[in-house]
Amino acid sequence: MTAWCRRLALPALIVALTLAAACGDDETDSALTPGATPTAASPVATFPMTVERSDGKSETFDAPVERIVSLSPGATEILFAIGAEDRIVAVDNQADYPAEAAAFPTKVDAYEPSIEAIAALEPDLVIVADNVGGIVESLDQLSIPLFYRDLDESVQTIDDVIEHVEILGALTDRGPAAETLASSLRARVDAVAEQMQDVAADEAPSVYHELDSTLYSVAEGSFIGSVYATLKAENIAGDGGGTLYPQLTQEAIIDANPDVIVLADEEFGVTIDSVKARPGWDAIAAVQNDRIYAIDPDIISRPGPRIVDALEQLAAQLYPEKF
Amino acid sequence: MQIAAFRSRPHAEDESPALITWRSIAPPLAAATALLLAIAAFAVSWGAADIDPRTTLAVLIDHLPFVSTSGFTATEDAIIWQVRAPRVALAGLVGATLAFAGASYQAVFRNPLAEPYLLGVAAGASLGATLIIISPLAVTAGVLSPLPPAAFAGALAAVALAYGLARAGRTVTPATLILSGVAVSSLATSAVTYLMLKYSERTLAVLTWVLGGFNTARWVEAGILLPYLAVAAVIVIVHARVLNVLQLDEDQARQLGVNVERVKLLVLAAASLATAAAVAVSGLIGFVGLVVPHVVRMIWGPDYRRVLPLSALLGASFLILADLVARSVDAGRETPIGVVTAFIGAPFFLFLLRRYSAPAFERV
Repeated sequence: MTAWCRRLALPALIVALTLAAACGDDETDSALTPGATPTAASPVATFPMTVERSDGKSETFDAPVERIVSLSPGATEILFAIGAEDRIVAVDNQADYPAEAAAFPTKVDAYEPSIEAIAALEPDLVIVADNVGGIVESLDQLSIPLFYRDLDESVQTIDDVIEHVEILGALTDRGPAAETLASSLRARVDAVAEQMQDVAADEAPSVYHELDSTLYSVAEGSFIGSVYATLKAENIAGDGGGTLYPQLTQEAIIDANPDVIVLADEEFGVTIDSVKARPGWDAIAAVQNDRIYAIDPDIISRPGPRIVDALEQLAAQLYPEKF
Repeated sequence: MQIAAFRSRPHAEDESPALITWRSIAPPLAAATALLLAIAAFAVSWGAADIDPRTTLAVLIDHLPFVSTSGFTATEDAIIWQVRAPRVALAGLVGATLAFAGASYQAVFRNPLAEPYLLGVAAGASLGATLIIISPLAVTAGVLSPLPPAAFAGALAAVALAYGLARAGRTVTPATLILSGVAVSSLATSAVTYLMLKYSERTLAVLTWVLGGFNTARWVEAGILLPYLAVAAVIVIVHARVLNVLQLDEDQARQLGVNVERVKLLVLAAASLATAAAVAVSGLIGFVGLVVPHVVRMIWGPDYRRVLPLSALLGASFLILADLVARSVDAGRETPIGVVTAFIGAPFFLFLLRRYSAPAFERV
């Protein structure tokens, strides 16, 4: 969520009220060179190990890391899933899964992370998924090694997340556990893909994915959009006109007449019933056929292991006859 | 179309308040009304969904009482009647309210920078909305949402506080009131900022509200705002003549037996109430309330009996147009309305400023 929050911050500032933008409004200058693909770590960790970053730089690690500050709730979920939680010294305050992460004693603000507080923890790895407030550059100045994969720049598919599992496993000396998790995630993705094999283009449903009650959605190029692409669904937001998180007009949504509506905004008070009650929305096929579905926004927006849960849930929703 | 600066000719014979007649107000009123109707008609027939004007007309006629037409689909009906028409109506009402309130504020404060958010309406409404958004109450949506009432209450509380603080004895001087409004605004804004940081998972919801706009406009919101605008319009326009006298000299007004403090309070209260209602249903939309009254003054002169109604009509036209741009510049996607109002409003205003080089508001 932080990523599109950051995109919202700028126009918000232009508007009359000069509220301080809590998300931080700096634009990441992480120019990932098109040809450079992140190097996959081998399951058996061999140090020194080099890990690419979203901004084209890379980090070299001579030994497994011992003290991790994770500013990415998705990466935190990965660390817990591979049993590397004993190496975490702090998580960000958005981390709420698993329960141990939510209850983690040391937390760093996700939107305004304090460099000083992070440095005081003497981490040998900071995990960053969003360069909020220029934190990447600040940590570089302190020579703190980063695992920096920007959610909007270089995390495009579920495969990328599985790669994170492998890299973090190698870095934390949890290679075998990470490999087990990675293969099981891969197997589940493959199982979905297999079921989808005989879905013809014309029977794929069209989908409207709602991020909030003012009709922000996800474009095809976004991480969430890639899940729908995997499911062959037709995303009514299309390419978003160059924005990863476009705000659709109500009229365009009704006109696009999606077969399925996926709500990721129950925390904003949007419910299946409140969507049905929106004036004019009864003309939409998804409303007429009761195909509105609420999904936990955390599992579909975070680059963590539960993204595969999201994939399976959406597959079952989009193709009830197949799953 | 000569511009009258009050100071330069305080005893202007040709436009002395008593001499303006209905005949001199009617032509600009008719022109502005015609413009508004034309823009509204165009806005209703233009949108992301490609629906031809004839179908649009059929849908609109079908919703008149005792008439029924055919030749359109349920989807077309939903888009025109449930989405586009209320959106245009709400944008028009909010534009009218903000511009009218801006003109009223400028009249009371005799200050060209006065605008409807001056006394803390925006910051107060933001605080009210933020408090709801961070509370568990936020988990209700739709007509029963507590957001608009909370924003409304916050806006009124801020204005009341600013007025109460500025009141020294029996009088309230404009300068003190403005400063007090600025202070209350800062206070509320800092509280909002603090809450946004403290409840960072709700930041987005707060920003979304603050940005405002008409994407989810419904008839019910237009219905809520209309009575506020109507009442405020009657109250302020009834005092338009007094406001004219006030521009010249408060003492002169007092000598004429006008209870200056009472009129000022009444006009401010009416304008603030209407603004609070507009903000509650649409969020914060800048520029309209500040600039539209100036445009009216530049074109039609400074008489408040003209400035007030014409500001409302022109403000409605302007915001409908701005919203049309906001929803069609990037087909199917929204552009923030505040960006559009400033982006098309500012150059137009600068053009007028140069063309009618004498400022219509020469005194502060």
